[in-house]
Amino acid sequence: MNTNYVFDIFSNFSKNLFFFIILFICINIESSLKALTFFEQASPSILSIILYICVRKLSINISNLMLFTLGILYDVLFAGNLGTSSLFFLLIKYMTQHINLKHNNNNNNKDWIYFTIIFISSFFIKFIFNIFLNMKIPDFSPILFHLGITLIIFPFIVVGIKIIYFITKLIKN
Amino acid sequence: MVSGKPSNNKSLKSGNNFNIVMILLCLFLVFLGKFDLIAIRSIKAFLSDFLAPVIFVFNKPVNEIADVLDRVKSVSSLRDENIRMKSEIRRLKVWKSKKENQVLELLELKELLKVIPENTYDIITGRVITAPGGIFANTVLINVGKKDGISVGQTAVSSYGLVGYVVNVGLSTSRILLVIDINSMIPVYFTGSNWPAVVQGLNGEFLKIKFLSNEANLIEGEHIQTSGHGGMLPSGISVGIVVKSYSGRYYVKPSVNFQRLTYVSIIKNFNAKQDINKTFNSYAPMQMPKGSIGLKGINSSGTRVKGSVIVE
Repeated sequence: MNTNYVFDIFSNFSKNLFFFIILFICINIESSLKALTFFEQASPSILSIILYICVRKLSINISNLMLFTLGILYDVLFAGNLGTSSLFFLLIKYMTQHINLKHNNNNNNKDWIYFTIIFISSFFIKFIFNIFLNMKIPDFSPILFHLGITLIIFPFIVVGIKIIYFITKLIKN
Repeated sequence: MVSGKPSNNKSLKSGNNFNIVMILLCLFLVFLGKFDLIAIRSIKAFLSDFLAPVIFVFNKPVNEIADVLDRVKSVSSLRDENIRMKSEIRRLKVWKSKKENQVLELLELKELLKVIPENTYDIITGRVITAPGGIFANTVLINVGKKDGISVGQTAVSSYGLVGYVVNVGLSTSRILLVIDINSMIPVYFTGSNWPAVVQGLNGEFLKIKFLSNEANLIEGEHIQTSGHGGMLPSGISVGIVVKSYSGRYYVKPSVNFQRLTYVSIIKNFNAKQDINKTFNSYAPMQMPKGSIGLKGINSSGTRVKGSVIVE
């Protein structure tokens, strides 16, 4: 019993550490994308997409503490207002787990609609906090670009993950 | 359409309280961060120092790809570029000969007026580690820090003009707040008309002009330089040019292309007090301490005389 408990702790820790590394790499990829001319205004929020897919599609329960730490790192790397990104990631996770559309239909648009609602509402809260903290309203064009490009890129990442999943399954068989 | 109905998963229900605690912790951190405590600043600087190599490693391949794309783009327009460059060289040669004469004349005049020579700035150049372009903050991290003599408030410039100023310093890295950031406000003057103003970043491509007199008539394409007002930044550094939007409002387009920022120089020895009291080099007429010296367009009390705006 005791050995199982210790094993569980180690298992959870290693899983969380693995996801932490994956998500931290996502942050860095997001940061490096800004070097490309296309993402001159703003880069897409890859981390939000990955977070959504992990929670909704792959049913992975990402630790809140890990999201909090990632948010702090994100704020330090991008020099944002400390705590706003942690709040954003936690809200994305919370909304992904709790928001349900009443008329569930099994078409491919469902995920996209879910993500749009979750991402925009979480981002709106973050945006309000930033306005409140800076006491200034920023230029809207990079914000709209950020929202748009994230929503456009979402289906491509989903398809990419589906392909990887399919290939893994094929290799296993 | 959207319901807030919780899922049936028991583990999720038990974690609800923890979620709220974490969200409250975030809110606490948001307000704590706003107080700008030294401890938080030090932690941020330490984390930036610690993560700098990781960021550099991740940025390297993307930077290389961006370079390759740029080269491909430039190759396609090589012929046009060549023609343009040839005409530019011809124009510059004429300018050079004119400038040489003017430099000699200026030196002679300075000698006659016994002008105290300008301070030569001690600069240190660092490589940019992160690319700018955030939605809520526009900063870059450079690979020089406290050990290289960098401190908060120092001016960052590139060969094109003003980049920003240092806001956080670690042992081997520093964070620079770019002029396009929403929290950046730079005192400037218009080189054509000599009107002072303040330019504020918008987290976008352009800068907003603030505190400009109603009497000022802006000219599209007019150059803007730092005025040195407030003593934080040296005067005479190029900031950008005036552009007119479709709505008829004037904005400033920065002279520096922040996307292609690779190296940044930090002015280390700018001493604001010394600069104001000892060397006044005509960049900012409104800054003149006494009205004893007659300046064009300014009366003895230091106020601007109406109708004396110099227009090119």
